[in-house]
Amino acid sequence: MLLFIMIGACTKDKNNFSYEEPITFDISDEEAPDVIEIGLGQRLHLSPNFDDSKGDYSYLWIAARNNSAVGYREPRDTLGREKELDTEISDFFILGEPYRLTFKVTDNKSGVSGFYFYDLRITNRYSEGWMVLEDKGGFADFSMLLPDTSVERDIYSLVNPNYAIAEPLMLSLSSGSVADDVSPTGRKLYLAGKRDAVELDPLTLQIRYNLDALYFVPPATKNLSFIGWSGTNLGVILNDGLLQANMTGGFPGAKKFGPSMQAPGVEYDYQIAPFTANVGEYDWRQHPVVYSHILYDQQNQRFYRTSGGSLDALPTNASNPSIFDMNDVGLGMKYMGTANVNNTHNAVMYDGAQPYLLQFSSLTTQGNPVITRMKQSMDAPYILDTEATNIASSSQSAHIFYGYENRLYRYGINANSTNQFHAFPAGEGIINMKFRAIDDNGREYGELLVATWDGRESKLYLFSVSLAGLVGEPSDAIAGFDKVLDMVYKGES
Amino acid sequence: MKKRTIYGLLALLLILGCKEDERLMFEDEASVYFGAQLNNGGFYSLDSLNYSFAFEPEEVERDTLYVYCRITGLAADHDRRINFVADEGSDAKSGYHYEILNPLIPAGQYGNDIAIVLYRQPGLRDSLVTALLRIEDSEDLRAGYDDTGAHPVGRSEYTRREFKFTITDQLLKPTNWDSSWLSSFGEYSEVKIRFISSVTGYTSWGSNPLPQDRNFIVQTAYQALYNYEQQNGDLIDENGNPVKFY
Repeated sequence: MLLFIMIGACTKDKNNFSYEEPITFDISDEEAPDVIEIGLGQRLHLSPNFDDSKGDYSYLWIAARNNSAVGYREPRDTLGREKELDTEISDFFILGEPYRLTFKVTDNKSGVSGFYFYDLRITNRYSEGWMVLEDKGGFADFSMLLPDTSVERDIYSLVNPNYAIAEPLMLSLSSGSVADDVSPTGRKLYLAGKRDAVELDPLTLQIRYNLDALYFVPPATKNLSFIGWSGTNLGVILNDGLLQANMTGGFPGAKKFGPSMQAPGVEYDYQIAPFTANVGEYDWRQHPVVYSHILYDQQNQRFYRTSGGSLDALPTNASNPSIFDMNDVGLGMKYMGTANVNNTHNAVMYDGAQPYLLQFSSLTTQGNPVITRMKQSMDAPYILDTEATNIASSSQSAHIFYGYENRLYRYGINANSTNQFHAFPAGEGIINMKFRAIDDNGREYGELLVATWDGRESKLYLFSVSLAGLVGEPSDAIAGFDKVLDMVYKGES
Repeated sequence: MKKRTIYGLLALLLILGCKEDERLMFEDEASVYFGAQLNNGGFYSLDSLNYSFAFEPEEVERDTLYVYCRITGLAADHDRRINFVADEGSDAKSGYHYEILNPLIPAGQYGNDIAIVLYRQPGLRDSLVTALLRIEDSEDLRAGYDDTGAHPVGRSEYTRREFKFTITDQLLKPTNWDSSWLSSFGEYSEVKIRFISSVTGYTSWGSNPLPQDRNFIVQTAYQALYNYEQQNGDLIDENGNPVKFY
């Protein structure tokens, strides 16, 4: 009797024990990429893997904006109620925004549901391709050479008809996302002239800010020679040759460009060359000292390091003086670019008519503080006679490509020799050149984009470059450009 | 009979004993303390503040600082008064050097920024006064946490019932000059700090600005001093030494 009373008394205890096997949902989709990039108006097809042969299920596809800057009350859109999704990306979606797509499977007998998630990013035709800066009657505009070799022309003036940039200088796109608490976190895209510049939304290509708005306090004079990001945490503007920096990091608050920095020992009497050497990925355990950003003072012929707060000399032990001294190079800089060894940089220098190649690293190694790697006089005819915009260092092989007049050359660093590998028709001079490394689902190769100018028209040519640095035949000419001043590849960061 | 009585009592106890607990609700009296607030992405708790009128223009006669108070317990449907009591050792006079405006937790609220108006009295030109305020029980709210500690308490010297502030019109060397500013600006001098404040607008020397703001202050000051020297030669401080930032 007592036993019955005890059992009966405790029935008020509301527990949730269950001895049935929980219902599980095994949903997968190996074919879907980590982030599905799709444009407005395009159709989205998804076929998740789910074995529905052993039950009665219903399905639901819903999408909602997945931006941490917005709240959790964003509207949701129902995209479908079938197991496979086939829907058009409607105007519910906003260009440039990330979305979370939820695939919900419900067991109709028990009411239990399982979920599978996809990430979407809404893109447009401008999401990938070569951006080509042109001088159109003294004003900047750019076109895009898309992956299918079609060309979208005059994009800047089409999207931003009311803000012309005179004396066009350069295009610049950061290598990765920058978080400055001013713009939405993402890549930084600039279009610059010598007296003004604009920051553009990388997707819509609309103006976000003009040059003044990029500063805490705009400078009185504007004479730009460079604007861009060294890595993703140092914005660099060279104004009158002086460094004006924007340092970002994990700290809060709006981050903008500041006034010109002093250089050690010379105050403001220096001129920074328009190149940056920044550090990429590395294993911090292997490298006790990291020089995040290295710049070259053309006037005082030496390197500086900076983390964004000041320009500093490199430690004495960073240089092997028998190779060269980072703090006292004694040469002019023609060009600096990424080498084919991780975090190593090629610098084409000169002493009068003699070119030199310097190589240095951004990283020390355990027990070795020296970062100077090499100095050799270059057997590279005409490399000092051409413009820096016509030089491109390969990040895949030990080569530097350059053009002079209508001829293309390949300088082999290891062999210290040069060969001419292509000549354009007479009168069609090389005006710009860029190299990019490509990883196409494990197939690695390089691409050289060369722009020419014949006095009336610029043409573009694409060259495929093997990992060994062998250059293939050029593509057909892509014509119809005004004078090309700069080119930058816009793709996945 | 006795056995039946005992068994009956046992049964009654068992029946009554296995009862689902009722929801636990806060039943204590509400209390108030100096709380922490979200600021720039992190929780920030102010337990003291040193205020100087020295960088303000002459015509500035008053300023206001805000200190956040928060309750434990539930919001009420009426305003509730906070009882601030000045420590006996305080030489700042309420009503003369400072005045606390509306010391209350408003109806429906869980916290409030309490305004303390500071007055620029003539005597402050060569003196510094101190006030240590302590929250005591009032008719509406009890005094809250009386503790110090690391995050989330965030108080090192004064408990969460206490707030200390000083007022002066003297230009004093910031207590954090050697630790925070020496490396950028060199040795302290009055002329130097006034120059930096005048060209940068920065006067909160007791605090540590965010890195990007610090960079701006340093680089702006460097450039301003350079420009000054180009036009006027060295800037000389009160000790007869040229102002240098190294």
